[in-house]
Amino acid sequence: MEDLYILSFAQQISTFLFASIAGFIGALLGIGGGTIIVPVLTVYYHVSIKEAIAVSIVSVIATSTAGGSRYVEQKITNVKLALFLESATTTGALSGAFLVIFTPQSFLFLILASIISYLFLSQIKGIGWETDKIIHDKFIRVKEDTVSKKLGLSSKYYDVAEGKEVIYRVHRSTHGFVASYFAGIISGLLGIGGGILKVSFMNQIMEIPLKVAIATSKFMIGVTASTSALLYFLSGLVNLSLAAPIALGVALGATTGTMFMNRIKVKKLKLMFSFLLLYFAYLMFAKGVYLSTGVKFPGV
Amino acid sequence: MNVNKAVFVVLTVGMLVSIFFLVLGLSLQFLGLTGRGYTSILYLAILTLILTPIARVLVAFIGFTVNKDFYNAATALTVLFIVLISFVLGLHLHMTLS
Repeated sequence: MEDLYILSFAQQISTFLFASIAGFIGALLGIGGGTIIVPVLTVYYHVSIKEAIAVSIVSVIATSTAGGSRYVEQKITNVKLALFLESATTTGALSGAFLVIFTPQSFLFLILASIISYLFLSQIKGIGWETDKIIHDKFIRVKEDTVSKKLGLSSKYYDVAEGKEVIYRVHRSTHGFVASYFAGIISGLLGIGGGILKVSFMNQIMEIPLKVAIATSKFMIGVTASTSALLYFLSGLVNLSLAAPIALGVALGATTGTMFMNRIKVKKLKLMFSFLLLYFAYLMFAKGVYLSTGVKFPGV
Repeated sequence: MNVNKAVFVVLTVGMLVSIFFLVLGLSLQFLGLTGRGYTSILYLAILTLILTPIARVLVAFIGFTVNKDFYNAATALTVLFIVLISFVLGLHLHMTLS
């Protein structure tokens, strides 16, 4: 076990505050926030990259548990859908762990950048559609496929901002399953992007309402993270005095975030999510370029 | 059995227990007590946190089985199985590398 230092109380308060913000954003958009936490820890707190990843994975569980439980209570999360897609993402993550030996990371970052750019474009294009679908009850007009019928994936939620109960049916379950498997591989290989891909695939491939996709993704990410977190934890890589204020911070931030998400108009939420996609695409592109050519872009 | 409710309870209890130990540990540190007790309390807090998502899959599996909803019970069981395999393989790989 490595000897880990203990953070000062002042450092813990500042990490707590920044973690609250990360938790808040993560809850609004259905992501874990590892891409926000890791760079801040390495750049501003001079934590080693390995330790930063270990702590960020623990924080992903905290944000998923705190935020996820609230969305289950608000009846937005689709638990059956979550478990169905989790079986694909966890299998993907497991395959990813084997593929990591054969695949260069720079190449993967560039592929991910192009996938996310595509998702950004299609999300931007569809910004007005979702409100229209909610108002004119179009989510219910979808024809369920066999898997969706057998598992009973179709459900409903109450949209506070639109003041309307939205009943939706789930289709393209197989497409969603296969996409989730590949999302699992990618996030297993790179350790990031799990939430952002889950939300996109549910919303854009399976045509599930964005708020349900956000809540369900928030709920899902904890399971994938827990396996790797357990390994980091048992290897003594998790600095407890650093993980504690961050876990508390993201839990508080995520809980607060869940109080707001359903009150935001879908259109605004879609716009926010689109910008997140754009930022991710840039980040992945910059990382890929940096790893393959050594040229450093700002913010990487 | 209301699976959603059961899952909600597991997540909430796991989170609250973890928060309790996290706050307790940090309070001890604030008082300058950073000995063995401090470490084991935070250790327990983080371990509870890490095991909570796995516990909610287990509870969902039990819930679906009780409800005779075997398709969903099977997906939950698959998730548990993959998590277990990943963990065992990861541990094995970790031991061989270090």
